[in-house]
Amino acid sequence: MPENSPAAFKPTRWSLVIQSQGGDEKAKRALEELCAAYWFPLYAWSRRCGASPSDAEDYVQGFFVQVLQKQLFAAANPDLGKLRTFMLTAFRRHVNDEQRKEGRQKRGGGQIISFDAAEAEAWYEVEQIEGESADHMFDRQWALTVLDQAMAKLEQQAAAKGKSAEFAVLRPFLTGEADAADYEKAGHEAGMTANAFKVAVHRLRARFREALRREVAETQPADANVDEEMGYLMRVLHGA
Amino acid sequence: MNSSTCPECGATMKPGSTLCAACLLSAGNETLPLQPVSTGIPTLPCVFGGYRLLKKLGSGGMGIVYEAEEIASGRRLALKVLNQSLDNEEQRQRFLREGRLAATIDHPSSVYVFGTEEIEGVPVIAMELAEGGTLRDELKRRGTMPVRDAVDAILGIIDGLEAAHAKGVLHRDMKPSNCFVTGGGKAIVGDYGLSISQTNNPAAGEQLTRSGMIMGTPAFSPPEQLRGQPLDQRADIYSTAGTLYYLLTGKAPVERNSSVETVAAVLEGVIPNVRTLREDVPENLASAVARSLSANPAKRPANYAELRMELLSFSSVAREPAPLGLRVIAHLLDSLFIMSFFTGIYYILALIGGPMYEAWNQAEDPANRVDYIDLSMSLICIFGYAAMQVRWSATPGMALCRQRLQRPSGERAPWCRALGREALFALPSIIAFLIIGWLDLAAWAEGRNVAVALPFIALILTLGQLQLLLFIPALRHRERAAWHDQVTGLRVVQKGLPAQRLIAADNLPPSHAGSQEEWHPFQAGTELSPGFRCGYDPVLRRPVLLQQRAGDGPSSQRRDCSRPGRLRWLQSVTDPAGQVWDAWQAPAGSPLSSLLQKTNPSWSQVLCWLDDLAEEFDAAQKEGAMPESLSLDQVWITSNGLAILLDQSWPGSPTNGFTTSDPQKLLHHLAAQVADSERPVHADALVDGLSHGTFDRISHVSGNLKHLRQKKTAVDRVKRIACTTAPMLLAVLGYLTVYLLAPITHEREWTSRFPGIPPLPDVFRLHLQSQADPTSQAPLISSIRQHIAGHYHATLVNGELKGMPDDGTVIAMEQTLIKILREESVPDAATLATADRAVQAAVEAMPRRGVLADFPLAKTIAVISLILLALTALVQLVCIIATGSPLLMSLTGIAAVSVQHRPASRLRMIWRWAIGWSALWLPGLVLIMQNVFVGKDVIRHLPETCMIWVPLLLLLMLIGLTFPRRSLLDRLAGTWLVAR
Repeated sequence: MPENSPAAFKPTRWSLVIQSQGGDEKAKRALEELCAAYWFPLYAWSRRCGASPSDAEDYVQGFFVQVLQKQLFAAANPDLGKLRTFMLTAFRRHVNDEQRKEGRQKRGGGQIISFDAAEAEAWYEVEQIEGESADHMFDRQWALTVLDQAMAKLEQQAAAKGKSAEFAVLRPFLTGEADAADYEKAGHEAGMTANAFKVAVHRLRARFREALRREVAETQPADANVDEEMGYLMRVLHGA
Repeated sequence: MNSSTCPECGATMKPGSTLCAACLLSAGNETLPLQPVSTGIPTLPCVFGGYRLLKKLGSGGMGIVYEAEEIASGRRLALKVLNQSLDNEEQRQRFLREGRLAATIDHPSSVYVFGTEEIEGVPVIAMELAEGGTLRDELKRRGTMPVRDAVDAILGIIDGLEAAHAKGVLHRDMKPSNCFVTGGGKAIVGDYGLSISQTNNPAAGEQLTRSGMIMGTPAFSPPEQLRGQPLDQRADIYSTAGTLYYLLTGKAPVERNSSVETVAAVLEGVIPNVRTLREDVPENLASAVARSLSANPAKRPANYAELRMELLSFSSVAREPAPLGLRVIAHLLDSLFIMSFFTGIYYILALIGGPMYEAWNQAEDPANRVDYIDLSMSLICIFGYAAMQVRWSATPGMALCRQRLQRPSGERAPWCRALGREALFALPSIIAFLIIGWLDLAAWAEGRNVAVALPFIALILTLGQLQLLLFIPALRHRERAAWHDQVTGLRVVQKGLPAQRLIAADNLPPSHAGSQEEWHPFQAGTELSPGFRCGYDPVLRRPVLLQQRAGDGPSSQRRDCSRPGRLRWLQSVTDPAGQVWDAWQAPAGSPLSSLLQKTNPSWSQVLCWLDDLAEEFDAAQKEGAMPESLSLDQVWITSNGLAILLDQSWPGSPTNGFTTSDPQKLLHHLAAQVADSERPVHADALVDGLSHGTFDRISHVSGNLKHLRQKKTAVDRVKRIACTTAPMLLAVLGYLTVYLLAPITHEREWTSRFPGIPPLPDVFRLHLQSQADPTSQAPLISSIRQHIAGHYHATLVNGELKGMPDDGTVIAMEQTLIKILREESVPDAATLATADRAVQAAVEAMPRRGVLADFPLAKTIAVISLILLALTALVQLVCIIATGSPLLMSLTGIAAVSVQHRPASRLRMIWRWAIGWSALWLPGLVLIMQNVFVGKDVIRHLPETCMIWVPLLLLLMLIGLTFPRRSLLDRLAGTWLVAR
């Protein structure tokens, strides 16, 4: 995860990837990070489409090999829009190609992302919802990944400042409302007054909000509307 | 996924996770306010009393609302639990009062309250579950709404608030998060937490407020509410408009950082116009919102009906296009007004005199080939009409015919379009007049005699109405848009009020009349029939119906049914004898069969009930909750005028013995309660279909009924009068045209031929007047004779008049003039000058010449009027023979029906035509008879004959006004008039 916070005028990771045509090292690293972060939605999608756990892993690994080594994104049109849409479209095409090929080479061209098959499968078991379509699952997992990424960033920031313990107490207050007694109790745990704790919660929410929006912006073209994508992801989660 | 639900938003959560993903993501959209609220319920789902709480729907000032399942019945509902941190006796009373107020309303657009109870010492209110969340949620989900959706939602809210107001309840906290959306997508009013009843005594605890507490949400509250002044329905109108503002823009009318600033801004009353935040909001919708958000209540719409009328044109309910006939009438009326206007101006100028009058007369000079006066009149008309349409959406004629010019979206016509449309409309006649001017046809015709002038004037009249050709494309257009409407993208629609439902008086036995015996939580009340009682809910203070359970009682579908077309099941109770009873909603009203005995509902009222019932039949059939047999005794009409289907006949209601199991038959039976002579022709196909049961599904009937409800169902007075008087109007218009044009041309002709002296026809008229009293007027008569001899002696050549304008007036004067010129010698200059002065003074003193004095001209006008009338009659006859209906009636959407035939047969229509037109011709006929038998000159009396039509016209108007459905003519012809 890059620590430098991209200001509004800086290109996003996604646009960097597209513009660089895969050639430059910085873009390649950015792409690798993207792949490492967003592999699970693709895995869940192919599982949901009926692939076995090992096939699903093959598809994901093979896809990333293509993405990184064969510069799959080099052909991407910057007007195409969201990374989310592009990734699923490209992955779908990749899976179709793979299924057509006979005597497909097992285990792709190598391990691009560290992949614990058992963990992936356990995760998939927990995440699936009856009657959900593969595309919806992909979108939902994408939304959850975006959230995880944002949360991880907050966690890293807190750890860097040596405030991991305080973060752990504050974290449950990120969502929803709590009553005064709850604030007082939690504040006591963190060694603060109820009021100071409230302020800390407020700041954490603001930081989280910023981190989340940045994360969403990372997957968007440079000039795209973050709110629109946020709205979409929210609908996806509510529909779950 | 093994999951639980988030207590905040209800989204599914992974097991073991402490944070809800959906809530987290929404935290990215906005920072949640930190407000201490006692949740009371730690985890969801959980069991709470007789309910299983499933998810939190929201929280308000007084309590938290959960989606819950009633364990005993499996019914889903919304459970409002009093916030425990507020748990004191006063709050408890307020909380229960909210339930009571909401329970009194009982309208489909208001959240229904099933009951109140206490669970573990905490008061709860069980309410109808609005599955779609609130309008605020809807906005968060969808973003700002399309204009039509927003207006539709607010119209639903207005219905609910109007029903509340009818019960004396003021909501006082109307805002998007208090408007709920049902599973069917309809917006309803909820959360009566801050409402007050205006019918109760304030001292009796109805004004429960915490001292110093601001009631309501400042951003949506009207200034008078924040000031603590007395409120009326206009306060709720303000908040409703604020809600609409929010739906359209995503922002409250006033948004500030703190509530103190918000209150200050509301009191200041500075609210940005909706259009500054969203450009595609129609301008008059924005101004309607702005008006409703006025800081001064007197400037807001006075009541909900007024607000509804302002919003209706922006809703998805399309307005009916104006019938073409009525549009033509509106156009004729406008022409009439404009001609009267210019005539008025001309005569006022003539009275005042001065340079403008001179300029007008000069512009009328035949030397100018182009008639600048007519041209500038046309331009004034174009600009004037366009201005009126932009400002009031109608010209005077349109307003009289209740029409409105708008864009298809309901927006008022913009300047450029209205101007373009008027210009296109006026173009054919302007071009025609320009051609006439260019070819100098007028001058050519003026030199000719009456026989030539007559067709010429007829031609001018026809060209004047050439615009009517523009309406031809409208005949086949879905929205009846004429050519100029289509080009400019504007539509003329008919203004109309939504059908008024027939309201039933409350027929339920009063609460104090029955037994007070406690059948927890109700009182046993009055027995209506064995096993059927009208009980009473002492907490919610409303009646309930109690029905002794036979067998398993109502099915689960029936119990869950929350449609407005069916009574809601409330709960089951046990009487002291251990018998189980089902408690049902008891809406105020009365059974349809007893209502029909007292009144004769109109077709539009029955249509509303048919629609209610068909919708209910459709839903019940799909759900399998249809009663086994159907009869009119099973239809209940509420005090809101809605029809509700009862599961069994209402005890003691008059029965006509009709029962069926086929819903179509019942609907037909209800439709047949309206006499054939009252039903519009467009409903015939539906009624026929219902009688034969030809509809495959009841949903088809429902769809048809919805369509019929948008149509005009009755013959309205405006159309009726328009239809009766149009031919007369046409004649009057012809009359006025000639009246306006002719005298001017005469004077001009005479003054140009004989400058410096008064026109000869005026002098001649003076002579005729003086002849009435020859002894006292002798000096004047002598002066006139000298004046004529002095100035006109040169015109007598060989005993005939030469060189005089040949405009028809000369014919009348010829003999007298020749006589004077022969008898009188030419006077000397001094005598002539004296005579001239005397004549000049006398002519000026004479009242201005009326057109009827110009005998040949009057004759022309009368003949034209008669020809127009005769032509109209002929066209009507041809139309009756061709289509079975007179043209004007088909164009205004009226049809005549008789007892045997719907619509009436051609023969009967011809008979009707003959009676009607003979009434118009009778005066003329009498005169012609006089001519034949007595030898009296009919032509000489034509103007007087025409004058007979004026009172006749007024009489016809009066008859049309008094009996729009059946005038004297229809009684004679054995027909009734209905909507087509």
